[in-house]
Amino acid sequence: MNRFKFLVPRFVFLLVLCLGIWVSSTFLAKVAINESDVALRAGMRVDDAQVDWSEKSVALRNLTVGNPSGGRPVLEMDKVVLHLDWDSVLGRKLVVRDGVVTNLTMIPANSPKQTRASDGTESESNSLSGRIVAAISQAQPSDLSYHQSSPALATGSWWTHVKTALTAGSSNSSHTTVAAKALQTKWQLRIEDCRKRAASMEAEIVSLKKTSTVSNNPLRSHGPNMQAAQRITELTAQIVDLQAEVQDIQRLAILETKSLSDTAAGEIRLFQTAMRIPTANPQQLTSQLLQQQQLDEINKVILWVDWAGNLVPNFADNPIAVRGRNVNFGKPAEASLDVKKLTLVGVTDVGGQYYRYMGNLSNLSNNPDVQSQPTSLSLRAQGPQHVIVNGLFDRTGGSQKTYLSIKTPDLQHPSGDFAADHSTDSLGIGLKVSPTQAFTQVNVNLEGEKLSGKVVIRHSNVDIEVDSNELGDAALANLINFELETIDSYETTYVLSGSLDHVVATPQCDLGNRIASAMNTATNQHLGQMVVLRSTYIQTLVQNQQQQLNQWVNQQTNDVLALIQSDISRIASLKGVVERLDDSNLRLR
Amino acid sequence: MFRGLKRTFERFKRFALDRQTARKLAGGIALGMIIGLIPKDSAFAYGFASIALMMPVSLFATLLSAISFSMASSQFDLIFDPVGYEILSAPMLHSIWQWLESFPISQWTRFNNSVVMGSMTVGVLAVLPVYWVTGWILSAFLKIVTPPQHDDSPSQPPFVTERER
Repeated sequence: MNRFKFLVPRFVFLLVLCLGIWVSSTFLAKVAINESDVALRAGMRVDDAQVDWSEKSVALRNLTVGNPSGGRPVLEMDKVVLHLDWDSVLGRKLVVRDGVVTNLTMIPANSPKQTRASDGTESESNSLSGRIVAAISQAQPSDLSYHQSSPALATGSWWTHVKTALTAGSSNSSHTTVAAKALQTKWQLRIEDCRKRAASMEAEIVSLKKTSTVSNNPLRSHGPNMQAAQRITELTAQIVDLQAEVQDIQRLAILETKSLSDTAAGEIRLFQTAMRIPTANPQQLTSQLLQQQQLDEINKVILWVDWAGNLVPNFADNPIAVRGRNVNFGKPAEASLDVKKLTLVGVTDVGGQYYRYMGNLSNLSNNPDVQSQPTSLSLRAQGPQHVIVNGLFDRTGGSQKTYLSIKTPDLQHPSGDFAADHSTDSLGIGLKVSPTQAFTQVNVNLEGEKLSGKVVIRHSNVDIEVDSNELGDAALANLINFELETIDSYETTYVLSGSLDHVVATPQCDLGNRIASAMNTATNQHLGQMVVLRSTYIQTLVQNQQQQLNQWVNQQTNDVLALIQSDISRIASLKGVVERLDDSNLRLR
Repeated sequence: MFRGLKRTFERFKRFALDRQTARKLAGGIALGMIIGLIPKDSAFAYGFASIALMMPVSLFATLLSAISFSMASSQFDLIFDPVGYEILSAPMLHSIWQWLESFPISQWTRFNNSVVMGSMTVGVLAVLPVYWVTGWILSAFLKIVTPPQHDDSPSQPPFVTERER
C-alpha cells in the first residue's frame, strides 16, 4: 500500500487543478479568446467573459474582431451572448447554436486606396462605397440603346424651333398686310400719274377748243388750225396710251394680288411644316437631368455597402499557421468555429447618421471553404430612412462571391430645377422637378476582385412643371403641364462594373423619354390647333385684303378711265370743231 | 555573501535530491521530454502529463524537462515532420488511423498532424535511452555531490528506491 502512497497528494493536486480551472473559467475563457487568433482565424479581444455552465452560454463584453493593421475595419461589439453546443466541443469544434450581438460598431481601417476616375484624375477613397459614390458622380450617359430613337434636331433646341415657327406664323399676316399696302401705294402712284396726265390733257383740250372757236380771217389764219389738228392727233395718241396704261394697271393688280395670295399660302404651308418638326431629344434631356441630379441622400445609402460588406470577417486574411502537415483520412474538413445564427441588435453609425437595427447573420464559419451553405445577412435598420440590408457571402468551395442588396423605400430626394440651356438641352425650356420619395436599391455583386451591380432609384410622387414665363405662352404652358402631370414616377439606374479598385458607373434614366413623350403629345396637339387657327386667319385675311385691293384698284382705275373717256369725247368734239373751221375757211377761199 | 550562496545551493540540493533517487529523476526527465516535445495543442501532451502524475517520478524534474524540451521542440520539426508523415501515410496503418479518427475526441489529440505524430514517436522511442543515460549520469553526479553515509555498507546498485534503501 505504501507503494502508491505518493499518488494521494498528486490526486489532491489534480483535484485542486480541476477546481481551479472550474472557478477561473471566466478568466480562462477571456485568455482563450484573446489567444484564439490561430484557432478561430480572427483576431479577437475581449474585456470580460462570463461562462454560464447551466445555460451553456458565454457572455462577452466589449469584443473586438479583426486586426486594425489588416486593412479591414475592426468590429466592436458591446455585448455578445453565445449559446454553445457543448457536444461539439468534444470534437474540438465551437458551434454556436444562436447568439445575440448588441451594438455592433465598425472602426474603419486606415488603409486609403486610390480611385482612378474616368477622366484620369485620382481621388482618395478608402472604402468600396466611396469608390461607388465617386463613380456615380462622374458617370456620363452612354447607353443610347436605352432611349427611344427620335429624330434629333439639326441645330438649336426644340423650343428655339417652336419659337421661330410661331414668330414666322404670327408675322405671316403682317407680312401680307405690308405687301398689300406696298402694292396699293405702288398702284396709287401710277393711277395718280395717269389721273394727272388725263387732267392735263383735259385742260389742253379746253384751251384748244377756246382757241379754235375764236373768229378770224380765214384767209390769214390757216396755220393755227393746222397746229390744232396736229396737237389733237398727238393728244389722241397719248390718250390711247394712257388708256392702255390704266388697263395694264388693272391687269397687273389682279396678277400681283394673286401672287400675294400665293406667297401667303406658301408661308402658311412652311409654318405648318415648321410646327410639326419639334421633337424633344430624350437622350440630351436625360444627360442634362443626370448631370443636375443630386445624389447626397443616395450616397448615404451606399455607405451601407461598407457596413454590410465588412460585417463578415474574411478569415482568409488570417490563414492558420500549423506546424507540420495534417493528413486527411477521408473525414470531411470542418470549421473549428461555426455560428448557426447570430441576432444583431443595437444602434450603429453609418455615414454620421444613427440607425436602430435588428437582423440575423446565419451560417458564419471560420472555414467557409467547407461550409455547405453560404453566410447570409438579413437586417432592417431605421434611421433617417428605413433600410433593408440583405447579403450573401459565398465562400463555399473556394469561391469569393459576395452579393449585397440594400433597399430604402422612403428616401427623400431633393427637388431639382433644370434650367433652360439651349446649347445642351434639346427642349430649351426650364423644367422644375419637385422633391420625390425614392425607392432606392443598391445591388453590389463581388466575385473576387470583379465588381458588378446597379443602383436603381425609383422616384415616385414627382411633379414636373415647365416655366410658363419662359415659354411666353400660358396656354401652351398649361397644356404641357397638364400632360407632364401624367409623369408621376421615373427611374434612374446606374449600372456598376469594373473591379474593387476601379468602379465604373453607367447611368440610365427614363425621365427624358417620359418628358419627351408628354411634350410631343401635348405640344403637337396644341400646336396643331394653333396651326389650323392661324392658317385660317391668315388665309381669310389675305383673301379680304386681295378683294379689297382689287376693288380699290378697279374703282381708282375706273375713275381714271372715265376721265380718259371724257377726254376722248372732248378730243373728238374738238376734232369736229377744227374740221368744221377748216371747211368754212376753204369755202371762203 | 559566499556563505549565503552556499546555503541557498544546499537548500536547492536538498529540495531537488532529498528523498529522490537518480531513477526518479531520470523517469521525470524522460517523461518531461515527451511532454515537451509534443505540441501543446495536442491532448497527447496532457495525457503524458497525467501519466507523469500517476508515476513515481520526480514532478520537479518532469516540469523542468517539459519546459526545456518545449522551448527546443520547434527546432526538431525537421525531424518530426518526415517521421510523423511517413507513419501517418503508411498504408498498413491507414485503417487504424481511420478508426481513431472516427472518435470525436481524437480531434483534440491532433494525431493526424505530422509533427505531433513524429514528436510523439521520437519521444516514445527515446524515452528508454534517455531514462538509462540520464540515470547513469545522475547517479554518477549524485555520487559526487552526496557523500556516502556508511563507508562499510555494501555497494548498492545505481538505481535504488527508498524502499530498497
